[in-house]
Amino acid sequence: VPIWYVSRLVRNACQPVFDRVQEAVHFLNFAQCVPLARFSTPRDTQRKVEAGKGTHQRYLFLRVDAATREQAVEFLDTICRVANSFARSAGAELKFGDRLLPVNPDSIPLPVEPLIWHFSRGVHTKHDKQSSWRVPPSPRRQEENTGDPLGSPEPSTPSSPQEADPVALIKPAPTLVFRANGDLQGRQQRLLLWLSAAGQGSWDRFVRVSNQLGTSHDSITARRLLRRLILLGHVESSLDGHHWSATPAALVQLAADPTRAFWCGQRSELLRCRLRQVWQMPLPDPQAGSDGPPRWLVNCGEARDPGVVLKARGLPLRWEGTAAENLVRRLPALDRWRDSLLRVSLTPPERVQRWQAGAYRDEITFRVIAGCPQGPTGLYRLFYGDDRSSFELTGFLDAGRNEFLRGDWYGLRFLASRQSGLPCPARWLAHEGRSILVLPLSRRWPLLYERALVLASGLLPIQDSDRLCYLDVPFDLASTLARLLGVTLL
Amino acid sequence: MPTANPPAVATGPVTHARWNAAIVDYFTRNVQPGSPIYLSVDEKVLLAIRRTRLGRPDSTLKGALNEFWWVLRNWCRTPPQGGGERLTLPVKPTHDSEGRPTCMVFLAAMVLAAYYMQEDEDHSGQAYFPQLRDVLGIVEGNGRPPGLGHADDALWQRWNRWLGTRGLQPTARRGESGSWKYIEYPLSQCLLRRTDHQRLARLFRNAEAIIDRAWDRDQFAAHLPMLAQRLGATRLAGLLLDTSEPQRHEAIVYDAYDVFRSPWHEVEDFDTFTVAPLGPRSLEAGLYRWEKDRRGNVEYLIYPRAPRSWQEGGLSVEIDGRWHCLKPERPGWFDPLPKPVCLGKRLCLNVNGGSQELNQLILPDSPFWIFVQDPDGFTDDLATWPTPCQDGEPFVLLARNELAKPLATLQAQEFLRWQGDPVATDYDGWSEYHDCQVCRFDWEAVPDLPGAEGLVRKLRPAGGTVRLSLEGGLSVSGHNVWLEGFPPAICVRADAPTARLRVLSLSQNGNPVVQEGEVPTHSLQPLQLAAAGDYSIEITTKPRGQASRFVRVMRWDQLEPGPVLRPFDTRLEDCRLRGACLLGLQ
Repeated sequence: VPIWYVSRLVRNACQPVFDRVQEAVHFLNFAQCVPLARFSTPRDTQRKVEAGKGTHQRYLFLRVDAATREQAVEFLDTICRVANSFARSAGAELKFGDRLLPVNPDSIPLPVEPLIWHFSRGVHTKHDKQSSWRVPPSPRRQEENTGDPLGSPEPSTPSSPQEADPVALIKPAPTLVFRANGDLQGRQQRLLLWLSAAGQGSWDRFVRVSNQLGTSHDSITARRLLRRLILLGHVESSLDGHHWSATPAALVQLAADPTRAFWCGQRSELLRCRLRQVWQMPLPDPQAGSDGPPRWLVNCGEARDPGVVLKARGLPLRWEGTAAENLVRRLPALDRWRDSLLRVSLTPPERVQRWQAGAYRDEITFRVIAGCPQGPTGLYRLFYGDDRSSFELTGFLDAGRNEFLRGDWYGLRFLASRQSGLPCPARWLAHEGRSILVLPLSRRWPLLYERALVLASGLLPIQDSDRLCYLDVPFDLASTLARLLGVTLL
Repeated sequence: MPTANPPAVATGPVTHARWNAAIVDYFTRNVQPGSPIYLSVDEKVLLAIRRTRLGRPDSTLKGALNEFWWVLRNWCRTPPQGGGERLTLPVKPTHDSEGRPTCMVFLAAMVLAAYYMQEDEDHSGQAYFPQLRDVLGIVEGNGRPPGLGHADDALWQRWNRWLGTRGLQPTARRGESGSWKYIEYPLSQCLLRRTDHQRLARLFRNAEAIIDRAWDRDQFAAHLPMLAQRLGATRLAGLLLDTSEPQRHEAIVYDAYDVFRSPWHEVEDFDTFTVAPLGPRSLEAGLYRWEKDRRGNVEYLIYPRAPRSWQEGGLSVEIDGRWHCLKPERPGWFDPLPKPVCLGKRLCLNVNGGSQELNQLILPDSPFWIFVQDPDGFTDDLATWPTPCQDGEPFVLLARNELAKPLATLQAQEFLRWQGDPVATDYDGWSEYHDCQVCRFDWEAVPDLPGAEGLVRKLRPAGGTVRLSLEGGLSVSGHNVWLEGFPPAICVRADAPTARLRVLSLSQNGNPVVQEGEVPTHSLQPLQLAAAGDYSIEITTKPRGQASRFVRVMRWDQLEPGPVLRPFDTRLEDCRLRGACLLGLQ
């Protein structure tokens, strides 16, 4: 579209003319095609006049983007007419005189003052690089490296600790201490409420929100937290760990007490209030160490079919009965579980580490040849990229099949221990009136199997020095799981 | 013009309540949270509502208008009793069982009256009230219809409030003062008047030689400024060229595009021209940028946009001879198609639209694409969401290599900057420019860049634009709701160094102003939204810029479980495990 400079003689001071014309341009929505005004130098004086000052006769030039000269003049006349009417409303009078022929920018027939009167950006001088023309940089959004969602949930240990004998570890009777932290418990509850409302999201968003709520402070603690929420049946994760989704709200019968159930999946306080009108709900039980949202227990009593009651009352909660036992009946043996893991193709990494004796150590025999990984079987951490865009990939190398498998980190570590022929013991005992399964911390079970243990009670394991204690786990459940995993149950 | 006394029509099951609900549904369904809502009622909208929302697919325009008037006049008018007809509006705005305001038929009529105003009539009661009286069927007298008083003020406020509670952006506003104080409400909602439609149709006919009737909306929008220049210094030209309110401008372009799609080339008498209410309509699409891995490998997927006022129903697209069902991804958008796009040519896929009268999906052939961050925070991916990028918002530019030279000029003259070197993509002849940002407002000083006119037009900041965005805090994605204790911060983007911020509480009694003052633009400023409640944020800049936004801060115990569109689960031999639930058990 051509650019024209159209002009009218004015006998007022520049500022009131500009103000009224600016008002007219905005009123008419012309700011896009009439962006600025210029004034010629005064005609009726020989004295030097400061730019824009005095009430000398000047020509007002408007820059107009218009297809033809005639249309450019039409813009000018319309603007002057409206500006005049605004001036009259304010009790003033604008005196527009004759007009010059519309011209192109480089052929203005009169000397013009260096001031540019811009209708949106105010007044500035020609060639002046005003800061107000500059778009300031956008505020930086906080970005953090959330890392590999399937990476280690354990902080890296710089030294190489000597692994304790797992069999000796689980022999003594456990000390069950809950150590609840009310503030942290409240934050965990808020996180679960948020996850329930959001429904789904990315791993990165989970880390951001969790850090914001203070339930984690980096990607390692966030990994641990997401895993605990999966154990409790509140969320599920995609195979590659990059996305999560909330799970349906459901009541699960306690394996040790069929008259009571706990709440899994999406939560809301409003739904809880409605459920309390049906059954009694005691105060929430804190998780050990306030590591997760508190358990919501429901006293269902001897209700014959709680699912029917829920349906009849219009409550959007599923009745899952003894979920742990139902799940255990459908779990595969460890080899079949390994087959279900995500297989990925690889490119040669810059650096490689393998998990050995409780720590990652550099592994120089690992190779990727034609996309095929080769090296000793085990749990690996591969490093890619330069400093600017580095990332890690954690997985299990099955040397026999030349496959690199991705999945739950503890599960892969367990697999590596089994493949190495390391002892994987567990102990079941009745202690302080509760049935307890004790595992060495270094032999934590794969997520899917551990979930069956947690769903038996709705409680996360208590960590007692270097071992984990799962409460209210019936012997049959423990022994079936041990058999599936090839664990020796003491 | 509407007749003063429309003939009575068979009412059937059609009631005021159904029309009321249908109007609300038409304007708010399938709209992205935070989007501005214009109650832009005109004749084609009333016909579309009757056809698609009220179960009369074979309705005519006359039938739709008659029924609308009948419903309207029965609701708001008393029969003449000696002293003539007058309005009987509820003393207080009411709502139906689902919380919708019950005044929507009346408000629609107010906007319809604005639609009937003449093209050159300005904002004055003298021009507006005769049209309103005509629509209401109150023929005697002039000026404000008797009984209206200032009841319309409360009704519009009620509608604005309701939109706010739904996470939508109200746009109806009261005039500052004078004769258009209250009529500014309907005038602000009417996008193009009937005479504007007619003038546009005439314009298209006159410019037929330079028009391609196959233009999609983006192509049409790109040519609109050139066409509007032919209208000279008119109100309509100003409307079409004014981009200072980008979202209103987009809505006006949408309306003008409806005129463009109508059969203006067959019209003999433009004074009786009306816009086709429905017809074959294309599904528009953008691109979704999907990072295949963390190594920087990206793929661009076709990202179909749900048409405005789309009612949920089966839509499928034909890809390589197979029909692919479109699933809603979020309000206003479908899931990206599974097939990576072939850049550099216009793509047209067949659509099976069922009752939706959609028959094709079009991805325009554009020499560049602008990717921005997810405005709803659902994902960390980028897509061609319509977030304005001219005011400092960072973006990723995907451009043909032919644009490298003009882009280098823009960079050298500091109009545009980006981080690092352009990154070659897997798509031959296309490169990505990362972390781009527009750096200058005075794009009128950009030199001629042959071949890059479209890019310059897209990136050029509009004068006087003010945009406010809410960032940070803790929100529920897609709900325009923040949680107590975690309010957002505000960032005002404008070509002014400071802006006036005013935060009003809509929930508390007493002084509603909770925060007020001058704030710097282009920086994050904390908002003092300590307590749960509804707030209105108002921004003004000199000389004339203004923007506002509704914000809701919710208590934690008010959170309710949200829908899970893509649930994950663990596959077991004979069932799936989702949380504690075993699904698909035989």
